[in-house]
Parts: sequence; C-alpha cells; structure tokens
Amino acid sequence: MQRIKPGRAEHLITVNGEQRRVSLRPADTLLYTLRDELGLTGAKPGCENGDCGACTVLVDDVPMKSCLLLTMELVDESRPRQIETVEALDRAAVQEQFLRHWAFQCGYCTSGFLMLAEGLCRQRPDADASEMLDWMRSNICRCTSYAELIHAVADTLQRSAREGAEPAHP
Amino acid sequence: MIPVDFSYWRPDTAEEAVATYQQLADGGQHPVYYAGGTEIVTRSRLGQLSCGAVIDVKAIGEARCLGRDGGRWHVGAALSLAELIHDGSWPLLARVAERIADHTTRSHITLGGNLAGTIAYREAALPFWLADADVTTVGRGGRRTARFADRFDGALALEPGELLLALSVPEGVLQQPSYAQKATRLDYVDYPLVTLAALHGAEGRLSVAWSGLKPAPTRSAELDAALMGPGSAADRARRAARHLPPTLAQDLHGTADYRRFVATNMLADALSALEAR
Repeated sequence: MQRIKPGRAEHLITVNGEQRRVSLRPADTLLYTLRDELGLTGAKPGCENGDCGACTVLVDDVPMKSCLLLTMELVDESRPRQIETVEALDRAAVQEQFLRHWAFQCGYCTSGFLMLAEGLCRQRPDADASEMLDWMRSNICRCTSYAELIHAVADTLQRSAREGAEPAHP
Repeated sequence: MIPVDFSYWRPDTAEEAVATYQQLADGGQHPVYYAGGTEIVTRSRLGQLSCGAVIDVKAIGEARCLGRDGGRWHVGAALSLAELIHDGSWPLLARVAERIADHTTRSHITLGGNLAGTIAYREAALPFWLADADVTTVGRGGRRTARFADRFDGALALEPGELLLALSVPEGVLQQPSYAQKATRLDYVDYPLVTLAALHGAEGRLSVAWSGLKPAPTRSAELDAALMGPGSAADRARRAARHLPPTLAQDLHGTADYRRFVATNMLADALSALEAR
C-alpha cells in the first residue's frame, strides 16, 4: 500500500513526454502542480469546481479537469500516467482549425477547449455531430464563441476523416 | 487550491482499505474514501470538508471489476461513469449515466461516488433500484452482500468506514426493455429538474424510479401498480401521477407544480415508448 504523509515531498510525474520531479503536498491538485511547479500555465484556473473546463489536460489521452485531480493520483510507479498539456501541441490540426475559424475571443478558455478537442480527435475520430456536441458541452466559453468552436472541431474531424480515407501518396 | 493538507493512502485490497480507515479514524484523522474525488476536492477547496486522510480506492481490483459471472453482471464501485457508458452492457445504466454532469467530468465521477456521495440526486442509483440488484460492501464486520433495495432508500445506508465495493444485477436485466429521460431547467448539463428511469420487468411489470423530485431518488409501488391499469398512456400517466410524493422539491430548478407537470408527461412518454416496442 502506498502511503504519503502530509507536507511537501518530491515525486515523479510524466508531463508532455518527460519525467519531471515535482515538490507537492498530497492535497495539491494537478492544476497547481502544472502551473506553480512546472511553469506550464496553459491549463487555466477558472471555476476550480469542475464546471468550466479551462484547466482541461489529457491523461493517457483522456480529457480530464486538472482542478479535480490530486497530482498524487498520478504518481504511480507501477502504472506511469501520461499527462499532456496544451504546451505539447505543436501546430496540431485542431490548432490550425481554431485559427482558421477564429474560435476564440479573449482566449482564456482556449487551451482547455484545445485539449478537449484534441482528446476527441484521438479517442473518437469518427464522432458524429451529436457526439461532438456531447464532448464540447464539457467546457464553457464566457465570450460565447461556441459557433466558431464547433465549426473548428467539426472541420478538424472532417479533414481527419478525409485524410484517413485517402490513400497515402508515395 | 486546497488550503489544508492531508495524508494520502492507496490500499491494494478492500480489507486493507477498511483497516486503514479504522486505524486513521481511531487516531482522530477523519479519513474519507476517495475515488473520483469530484466532491472531496471541490468541497475541500471551499472549506466545506476537512479530512485528515484520503484513502484512494482505485487500486482495489474488485472495486474496478466489470463483467459477467454466475448469472450476474458485476460492476465495481470505483469505475467511472464514462467507463460504464463505454462498456454499454446495460443500456438503462448507460442512458442514465450519460446525462450525469458533462462528458469530461464523467471520466472523473465514479459509480460509488455517485451512489454514496453527499450530492442528493444519485441518479446512477435508479437502474440498480429498479433491478434486483445486490450491493457488496466491506466494513468492520467483514464482507456483506445485500439486496440494494434493502440498503437504499434515497441514500445508501453505510456504517462509518464501510466501503462500497461493487454491485451486481441478474444478467437477464441487462436486456429488459427500459427507458430513461432527464429534464433540466437551466442548461443541458445540470442537476435534474426531474430524471425518470423505467424498467419493464420479466413478468411484464413496469417500475419507475425518480431523481430530482425530492430531490433524492424516490419510487412508489402504488405508482408502479397504477401504470398497469386500462386506458391510454396519457390516462394511466395521470392516474399514476396521483401517487407521486405529496411534497415535491421547490427550488431554483422549478416549482413543485412544474415538477409534477413534467413528471406526469415523462410517465406518458415512458409508457408510449415502452409499449411501442
């Protein structure tokens, strides 16, 4: 049985493909470990109540709200968990479509929406409109860019499906 | 950020979890069992919960069981709602679960957390309440398997330190015709104004359970019986609705009268849908 005392101690987590040593308390949420320990400020504190999704990251390719996760849950030598933040995306298809559709206004929610959409594209590349909406309802944009966000994600899925269906060029 | 600190424990077996709970409780540590963490993390951040230790039960294999054995379908309490929906073995459970919270949060919330947490709606309980479900817990006195209906009456009756481990239903229940509907008032993703789950039993008996009306889950044998009489779906729904609880919740989501109106229409919808099959 793993047992961790209260107070700060160093632990290893895997973030964006790299093993990182972090100092954390058992009560620390992943959101603040990423931001304060690792300087990865792409995950945003919004409601910190699991409602807005501004803090969304991927854990083993699954979108998770980092304000709802204890970092300690992801410290597991027997089963290292892969954490990905928006800093890991490098001109990903979904980023290109967010730019093309102007799928942001103030931008505060953008990284959370990007990680949600990236998770959707990886997990359910053949998602229909209804499934896409079900995923997208997980996050909130207070500037109400919803139409642009939905167009951007729908376009990413469609392009991905077309490219997947076309034979690869030599 | 959670202002207070606590110790973190990750036991490998249910018995280890229970023994750890007892030891910590006896030492005045106010431990809590932790699975999805949505309630514990948010309430701790707000200062509404102060625990000295969290016991993470997700490494307990039995709490993550999923499959058929001995004529029953078994499901571990530490499985997330997203995992249950993805599995899809029980369509009624999947339909109810896919309207709880939002898609991402359903990857956090566990079945056990929804059933045994402090948020009253406990919508995932409705299918188990309607089926002939068993619930297995581990407590100070050891393991105990009981009929879910004997331990659940809107809330699960658990002793302090008793761990909800798994549930099971007869395999035949998985294929029985069923219906679920959720109405929300403020947004699509919200706590229920009214949630209905209905199951057509093996003997042609229809039973219904609700969340949001009280707001904790509720059901009525008299209402179920009234659904089976003569008349159109709308007539039987009106007749059955007389057996809804006399006092319904009245809050931001809706008035008691509005809830009664919505529930009556939901009953008619459920009858029409199930009888059209």
